[in-house]
Amino acid sequence: MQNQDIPAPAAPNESAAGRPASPRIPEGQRLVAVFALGVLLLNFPLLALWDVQATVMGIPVFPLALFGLWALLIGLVGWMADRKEP
Amino acid sequence: MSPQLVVGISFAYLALLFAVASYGDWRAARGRSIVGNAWVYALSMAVYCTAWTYFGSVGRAASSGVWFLPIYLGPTLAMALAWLVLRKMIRISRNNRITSIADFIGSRYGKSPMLAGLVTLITVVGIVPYIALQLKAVSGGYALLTTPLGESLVRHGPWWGDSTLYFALALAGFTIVFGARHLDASERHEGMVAAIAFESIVKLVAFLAVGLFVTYGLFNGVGDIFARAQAVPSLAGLVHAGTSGGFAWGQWFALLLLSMLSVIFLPRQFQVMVVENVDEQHLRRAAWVFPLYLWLINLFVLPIALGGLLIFGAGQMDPEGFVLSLPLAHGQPLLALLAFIGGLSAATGMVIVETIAVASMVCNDLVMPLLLRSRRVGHRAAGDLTQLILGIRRVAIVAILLLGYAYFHLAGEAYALVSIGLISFAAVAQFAPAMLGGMYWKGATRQGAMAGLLMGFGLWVYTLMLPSLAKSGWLSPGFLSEGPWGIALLKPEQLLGLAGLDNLTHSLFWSLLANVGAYVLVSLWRTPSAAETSQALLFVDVFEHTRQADPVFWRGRARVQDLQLLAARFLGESKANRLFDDYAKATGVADATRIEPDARLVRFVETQLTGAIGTASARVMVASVVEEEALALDDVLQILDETSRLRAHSAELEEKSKSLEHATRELRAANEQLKSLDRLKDDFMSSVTHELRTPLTSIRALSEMMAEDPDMPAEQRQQFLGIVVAETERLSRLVNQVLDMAKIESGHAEWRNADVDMGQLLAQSVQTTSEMFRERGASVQLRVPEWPVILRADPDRLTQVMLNLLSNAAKFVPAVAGRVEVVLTTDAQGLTVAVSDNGPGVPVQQQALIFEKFRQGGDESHRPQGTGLGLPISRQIVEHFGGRMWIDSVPGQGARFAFHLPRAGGA
Repeated sequence: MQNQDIPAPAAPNESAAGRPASPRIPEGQRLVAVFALGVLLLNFPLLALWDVQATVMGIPVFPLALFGLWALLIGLVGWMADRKEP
Repeated sequence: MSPQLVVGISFAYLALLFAVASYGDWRAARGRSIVGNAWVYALSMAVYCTAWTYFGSVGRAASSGVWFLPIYLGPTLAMALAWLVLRKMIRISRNNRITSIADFIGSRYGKSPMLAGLVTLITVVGIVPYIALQLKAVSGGYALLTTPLGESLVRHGPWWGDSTLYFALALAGFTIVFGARHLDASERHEGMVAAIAFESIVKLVAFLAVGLFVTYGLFNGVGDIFARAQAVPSLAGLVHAGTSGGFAWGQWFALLLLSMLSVIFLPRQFQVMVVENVDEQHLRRAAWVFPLYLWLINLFVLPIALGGLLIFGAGQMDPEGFVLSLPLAHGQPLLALLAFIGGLSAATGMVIVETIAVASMVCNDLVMPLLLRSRRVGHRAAGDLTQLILGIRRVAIVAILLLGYAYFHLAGEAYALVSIGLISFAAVAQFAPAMLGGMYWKGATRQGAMAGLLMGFGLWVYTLMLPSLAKSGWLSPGFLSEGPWGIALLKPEQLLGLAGLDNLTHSLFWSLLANVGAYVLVSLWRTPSAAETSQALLFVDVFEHTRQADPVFWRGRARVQDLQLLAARFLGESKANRLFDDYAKATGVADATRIEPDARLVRFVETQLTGAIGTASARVMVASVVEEEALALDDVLQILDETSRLRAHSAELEEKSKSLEHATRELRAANEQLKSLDRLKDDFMSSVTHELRTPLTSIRALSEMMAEDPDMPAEQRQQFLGIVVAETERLSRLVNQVLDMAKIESGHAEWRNADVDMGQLLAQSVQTTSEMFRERGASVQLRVPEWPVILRADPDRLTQVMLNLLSNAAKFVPAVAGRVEVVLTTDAQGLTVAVSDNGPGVPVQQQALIFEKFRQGGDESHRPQGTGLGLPISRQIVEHFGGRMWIDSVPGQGARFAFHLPRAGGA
């Protein structure tokens, strides 16, 4: 019963000081990077690399690549933007 | 298909849309919004996909392959930056109650009515071709659906027999019902957004249905279509970049840039993305769901285009009608009807939102400022102007649609859908420098924006708009081929001899170059004025200001009454009263009449008016009822400085008052303690003097009796003397204890340590007090270990502690069947001695107090004998040896006093 009088060992003051600050990259910068990547991928000369005489499962590579790159960008933006407010 | 059926179904569909909108409004009125949702928000953005997407993309794909795509890739790239750029736009618009692009630009550059008017003009002129595109698409679709396949679609008749005109008028009616039924200061249309989101689903489903039908119903999958197309030489090139003469990468980039800007600056996109936004967080989802929507709706464009060309053969059918003609030609009239409804969705959605947005711009930024300037309306003393505003908007909606219809007749027939749309895109792209520059560059000025817009718009008209009219035969063809007055350098599509670009890229290059150049150079010409600087600060630093600590750039005098009357004129009386009551509540005054007419109130009223009549008009109206001082640039900077100082100051004050509060609390606690100590000292003094007086009184009385009566019998004298001796002993005991306490407390006590056998010590103590217990009729039990428990301590002091505990127990045991138990236990650390009794116990609230000096158990009325120093002294002794003393007691079930002494004791 004596223990009641002894104050519990002071808990590390986590709530007040916040979690130890891990260096977080602002999401804005990541989104700008995705934007830059998109501009590069969807323009000359990178886009011209896909213009070849070949088909994948009967579909020509060029339109396939356009839709594929497009889907990739959508996925990246979704992955980076659509998360809960930290 | 009979025209009656198509018209009937179309109207039924529009009625359904209206039901959805009404439901949305109904829910909003009850505070259970259905549009407060990231999915609905993303779907409403898909108003970007118009009849252009629905019919035009297929046509474009059929003529030039993947060229329909950049118009949708651009928005995807733009949405990657939505969280940065759009969020800032939303925040600025919300803070300043901005409801249109004209308002945004006008407000940013010192609330300039001129600039807002210019933006509105550009918008109206620029957007007319786009409206025409929708009319053309729907009328074309209608003709295709109601004419037997293969017959000519062109009909000749009187103008009143033209179904497109009636379609335009019907759309105007619906738009009025959707967006201009009543005036809402916030300019948000929840029902409209719900209807638009619904339309987006309909057009996607319908287009995908046609796509699946063509791909898997008419062909054996995507691979089959491409394989068959490869076999036809004229179609094989469509799926490659390097078609005849190389791929125009410049144009590709221009289209990407153009659509990137348009997806933000088209009036309808601004309306759904910024004005109708409910929560900034919704942008996070819309940033990928909207591009995904675009991806899905474009998935089958190429298969449908190639499929149509393979089936009908090139040049036989208009590719823009493939989504209708393919199902019709293969006996699927219902699917064709569904496709038509999808196209109708795409067109009506665009027209409704676009005209609502443009009409409110025309009303707020073009007509109202002019009306308010005229004496008659501006100074009409009282009178509700809400009906007037509504009337202007309705007229504007009808006028815009009729303009669209006129353009459709003038130029529309000659152009493909996509080309018409791109003309509009290039017009709204002119807003980009003023908008984006205004959001990030504080140095931009009104003249800069004005010059940029004028240059950009002028070149757009010259290089894109006029040629479109010329190609339709309304201007002489020489204007294009020779240049005006035969000056070759001024050829509209090869300005200054710039050749090698298509007309769109050419126009975009010149207009944006001139726009940005004029904007930057003129802005750098002189420093921004006070009004420009204050707005620049509010716009560029929007994330640094909170709502409360916003600087208010206004000085002057105002009267609450005037402002309230003004608000009532434009918002309606009940709404104005409610606003003022809310404001009073928010500022903590009793009612609206007690509101302080300060700068903040003026800003509040102006912002509310802005929502209803636009920035420029609101500025004019507020200025007309208050006396304001003109602000110089220094004043603006001073106000900003004051605000930030005020903010810093209030933070500092808060900090200070917090620390003051803390200090006060501590002081109060210390004071309480001192007071209580003081009271204790007083109590002690009275208690000690009381204790001293009792024996003194009896000693004195007995001594006097003996002194006065020399003949007192020796026997009685002996008895008296005995009492005197006992009382003297009691006196000295008391004095000794007080001295003892003082000595221990001050650390001057003498300690004679020796090896003590605790068991023996306890036995002796019990022995010593046995007489006392016998008198009280109580039994004492002693339980000690069989082995000796040796401790280094002062035996006399420990005996003192034991005697004190035992005599305490003796005092409190009940008169009958009193029982006291003394137990000695040992553990690794040391030993514990407990003295338990079966007395009344100690109430919980007193358990801590009884160890304090001068406190005694029991209440004031029947205090037991004693000085009240026994327990405090005992505790001091135990603590001196490094131990501790405590009490466990349940009131009514006795008390258990115990102390623990460590083996390696103290001194």
